[in-house]
Amino acid sequence: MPRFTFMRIVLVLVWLAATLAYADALEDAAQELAAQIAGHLGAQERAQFITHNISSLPAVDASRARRMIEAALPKHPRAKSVVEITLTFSENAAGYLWVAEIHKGEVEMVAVRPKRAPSLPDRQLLTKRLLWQQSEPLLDVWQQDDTILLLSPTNLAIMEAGQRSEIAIEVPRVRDPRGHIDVEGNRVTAYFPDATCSGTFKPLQLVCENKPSDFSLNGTKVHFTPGRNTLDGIRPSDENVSVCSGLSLTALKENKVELLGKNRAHLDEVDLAGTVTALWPANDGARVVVHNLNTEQYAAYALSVDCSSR
Amino acid sequence: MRLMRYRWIAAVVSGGIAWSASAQTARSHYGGVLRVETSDTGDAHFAAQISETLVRSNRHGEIEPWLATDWTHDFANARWIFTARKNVLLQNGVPWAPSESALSIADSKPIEEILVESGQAEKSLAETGPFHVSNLKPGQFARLEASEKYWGGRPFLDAVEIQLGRTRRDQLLDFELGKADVVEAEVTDIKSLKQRSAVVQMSKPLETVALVFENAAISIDVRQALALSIDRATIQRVLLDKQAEVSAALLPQWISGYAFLFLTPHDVARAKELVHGKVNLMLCSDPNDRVLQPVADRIAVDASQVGIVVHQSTGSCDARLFRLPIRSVNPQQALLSMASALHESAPAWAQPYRMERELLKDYHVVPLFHFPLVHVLTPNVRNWSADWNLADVWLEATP
Amino acid sequence: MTFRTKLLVVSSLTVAGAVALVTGAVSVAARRAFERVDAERRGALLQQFEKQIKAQGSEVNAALQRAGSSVLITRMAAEADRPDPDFASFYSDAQLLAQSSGLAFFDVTRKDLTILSSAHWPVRFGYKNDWGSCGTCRIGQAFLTRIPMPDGSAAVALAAVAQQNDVILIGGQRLDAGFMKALGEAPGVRAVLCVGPQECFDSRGPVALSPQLQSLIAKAAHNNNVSERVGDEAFQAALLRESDVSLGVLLVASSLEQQSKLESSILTIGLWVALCGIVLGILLGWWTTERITRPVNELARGARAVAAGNWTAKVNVPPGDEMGELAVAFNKMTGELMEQQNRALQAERVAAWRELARRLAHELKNPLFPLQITVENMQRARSLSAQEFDEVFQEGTRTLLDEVRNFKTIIGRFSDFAKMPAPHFEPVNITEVITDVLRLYEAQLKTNNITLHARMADTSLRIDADPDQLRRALSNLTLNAIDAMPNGGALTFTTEQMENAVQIRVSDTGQGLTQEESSRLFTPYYTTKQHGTGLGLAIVQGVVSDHHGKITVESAEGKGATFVIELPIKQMAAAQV
Repeated sequence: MPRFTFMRIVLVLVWLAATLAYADALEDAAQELAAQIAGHLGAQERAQFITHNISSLPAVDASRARRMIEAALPKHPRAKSVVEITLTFSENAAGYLWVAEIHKGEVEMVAVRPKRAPSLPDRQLLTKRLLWQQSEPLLDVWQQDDTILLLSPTNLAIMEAGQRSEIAIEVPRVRDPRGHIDVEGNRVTAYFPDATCSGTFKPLQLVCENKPSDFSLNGTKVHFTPGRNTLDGIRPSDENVSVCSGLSLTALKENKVELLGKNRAHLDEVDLAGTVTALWPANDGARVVVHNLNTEQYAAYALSVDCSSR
Repeated sequence: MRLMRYRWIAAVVSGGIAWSASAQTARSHYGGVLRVETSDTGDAHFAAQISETLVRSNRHGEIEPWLATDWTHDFANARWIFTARKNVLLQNGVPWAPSESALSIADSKPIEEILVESGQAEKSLAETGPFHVSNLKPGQFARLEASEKYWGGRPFLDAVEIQLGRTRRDQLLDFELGKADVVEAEVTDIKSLKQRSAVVQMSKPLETVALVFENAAISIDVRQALALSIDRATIQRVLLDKQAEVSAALLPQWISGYAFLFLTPHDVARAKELVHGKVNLMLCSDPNDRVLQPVADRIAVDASQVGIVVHQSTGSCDARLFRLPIRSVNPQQALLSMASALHESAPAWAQPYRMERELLKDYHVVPLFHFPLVHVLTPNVRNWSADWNLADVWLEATP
Repeated sequence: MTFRTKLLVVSSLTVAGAVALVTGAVSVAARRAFERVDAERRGALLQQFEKQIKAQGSEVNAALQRAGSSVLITRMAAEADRPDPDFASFYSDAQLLAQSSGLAFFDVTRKDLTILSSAHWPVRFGYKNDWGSCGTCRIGQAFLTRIPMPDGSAAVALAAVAQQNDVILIGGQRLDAGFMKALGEAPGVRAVLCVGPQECFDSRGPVALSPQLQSLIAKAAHNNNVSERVGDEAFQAALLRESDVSLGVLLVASSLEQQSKLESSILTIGLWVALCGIVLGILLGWWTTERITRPVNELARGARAVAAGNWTAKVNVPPGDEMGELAVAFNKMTGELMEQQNRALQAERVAAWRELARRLAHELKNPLFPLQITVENMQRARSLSAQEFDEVFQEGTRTLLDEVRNFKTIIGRFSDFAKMPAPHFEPVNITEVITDVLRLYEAQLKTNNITLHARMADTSLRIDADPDQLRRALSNLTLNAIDAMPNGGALTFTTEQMENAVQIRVSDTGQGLTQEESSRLFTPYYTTKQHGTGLGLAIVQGVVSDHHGKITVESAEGKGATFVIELPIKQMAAAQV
């Protein structure tokens, strides 16, 4: 099976898993709201809903939620009067808020979390390919076949065949945390500004020492500045990724990664849905992590450079 | 119409301006001194950078662990026991060693209420924050310096110098003269600032403008009549440059999610029925507030249509036009803080909607608008957020 | 009041009156002249005010026309027709237009007068303009109006209306001290414009009105063009109205300082003239009265002297004028009176002597005849026997002795009358004296069937009198009354206190006296009785005279007689008189 197709399947499964969790949340919220509404209805009364959606809840989900609420209400076949209920799907910073205005004057509301289904992964074409997306900060990602290693400030996770396992990492916190993974065979080394963790990923185990260590970047020995988010041993302007034949990739302010040729000539660029927080070399190009400030999601992409075209 | 407006707000919430609008380069830098000015004279903005609480409300309004990493219920002793975070140092470098009583709270209230209260600034436990005060002239100036050993990571900035009690007009002047990096601006300055290519950062609505009745002798009918007479939409459109949100709720929609339930009718006919004869009302507002002064003037014009003669006063007041800051995204925490600012007794713990209804009963408080917080930044300021999370702010080095 | 004083007063009053009349007439004439001039000056200022209103109105109109061609207005006109205009976009435009036009008030409205932008009250957009009159109907006209202000007050302004496409421009200039300054001032006349209860100003600035002026303004509200004097100024109040709405009052004041000064001068001069006139009058009067009153006084002195009995009094007045002639006549009169008096006295004396002689002869003759008969009898009795001669001699000597005693009595009476002693005055209770006298004759009165009535005014009244002489006088009157009522009657004693005197009235109901008898009653030895010496009433008169009183008789024949005696209560004062 092509690697890319497999990855897509993995991602869809991941999305489905998240979607299922979301669907459960909707079901639970519908049940809870229906129970609250039922508390205001008499035996001879039945509810009639007027619905408004002022949230980012997709319309189809809003309709489904309404059906769920209606279904969850006790049935009164002999109900003689109708109670009008205005159902508003609203939203706040924490998540969705479903509000039922029972037109006897009462108001009931329930909170719904998780907030929304993650969107399907972007279909990146040749130059970029989404590897992973999560809300927790992502420092670096490594992927090979069906194995993905995800380095976060507090853990190292491995996704393999749809299964996720992770190991916690306790290292001193740094503002704007950075990290880098080096994988050699089964050995994995995670580099942090104030620590270095070494171990294996099958099984996943790590031992951390509170001291930075050197790693190689573009052939240069570098290490994270203790307590900082900078790299010692390299100039910030050199913090790019050398790819083939003198080409390099560099991160731009406008949420882009630029492909530079010799003499730093602009060759190409890709737009990314967020600010670049990490750009590390990879076998076929580079790995980039972006932070989408709007969705607050961290996404990791694989950037492939067609070296043959040069 | 009401729900259409809130749909737009929802779009903003989901895809609009977030806490920080400043673009981020590849890496944030350490170092530098940030110069900030504010019209506040107290330490409300930066107190949380000095002293920390057991828990805190994050930008989603959720209570998250802070100095405490978790909490468990001790059934036997009817208490909640909080676990102190490890490796936390005080400003003087001494490890933080809280007493047992500081970490133990009786379970006489629901845990949600305990957590909300524990996250309030008044419940700060120790000076363990990312900054410490190195120079303070109350009401005038404060210099904060980075705590090198802060448990959450040393702040990017070396120091922050805060000029307190500066009028917004003076702040803009200082900004023009290069004396400040971050200043506050009015919502009505946004257009002109953008035309001058200034870096303007506008937060989500984080300030409630409300009419608060201080004279208990003013009848409920008159208060309601005044509320009904005010044409909020026109004021928002004309006097506030459409930069504010019309609301009759204390908390904006993006925080509470139910602000649409509080109606903002403009019903002059109904208002006239409630007023018998001519009523005189003394209205006070900050004479230095360039934005609220015309709002107060317009309120007087609107009120005159229903028989309420509003006189602008600098002395005794029947009602006052207030700006109430929203200091938390957690609805209950924000409402408790507002009750304190209004010198009202805290509403009984309940769903946020019911707490807010209690605060708004009898038209004692009449919310009018929600203002975003507007800051003007020098181009090298990064990660500034309206909640003054100074630890995450950094300065791009000028070439 | 003496003649001199009267003359002085009259002359002073005459002078003062004449001066006052002249002063008043001059003052009135001067005042009228000033009032005419003031009215003309005030009228001129009023006209100037109206001209100024018109001129400024034209300026306001012109300013509006200029403003109407601005880009801002063009933009607003484009927005005006929308159902929901963007008020925010032209919120400050009216202020800019007002500044550039030099107008204090500037509203831009739609055709229905909905405010699009307002200079003096920016937040009033969306509401109807209520000071631009009817809007388009006033285009080209300037008018006065009252403009509501944000602080609740109202300003009076001169406004105008213009139209530019679909917008109405309503602008105005405040009527304030600046307007009044432009009005200018003529010497002695000023204008004060009042547009509110405490809002008055002239060309120099705000003016605080006195209560009188405030009252004048209140009157002007009901009655246009009221005039009144307040202090040193004459005010004329003209009501400023526009479409039956009272907007204010224009007070035009002309200074009455000159008039006051002139009036004051006139008055001062008048007073001085009057004073001098009075002094002159006094001096003249003094001289005049000196020339008149001295002779008159001299004459009066002479008359008093004559009245007091000094018939030889002469008046020393230099001859040469009427008073001199009068003095001469007086002196002549007194001389003749003196001679007449002497003659009368002489005649009276002769008459009295005659009467006395007659009386004496009559009194003496009566006892003489029995004496003669007795002596003749005794002579004849010599021829009788000794016993018969003794009897005749005894009777004859008895008769001779009786008649001698009679002679002695008569002579005694005359002697008594001749040498009545001077009275010895002491406080005497007049009622007691009268009572004593009446007690004395009580039996006699009863015998003669005479009823006694005594009406005493004040039983405690005391007068300075000689009690004995008084008793004697009253006794004589009582006896006379008894003699006058041989057949009985009524005798009435009445006393009455008068000012400084007491009046005693003794009335009988006898046959009365004729006028002649009344006039001679007090003449010594005059009597109406067949017997008597006729000295009784003379003695009464003498006593009364010695007591410095007076006695009169009131009688008519057949109607009784009343003797009226007035005696002074105190003798010292009476003596001085």
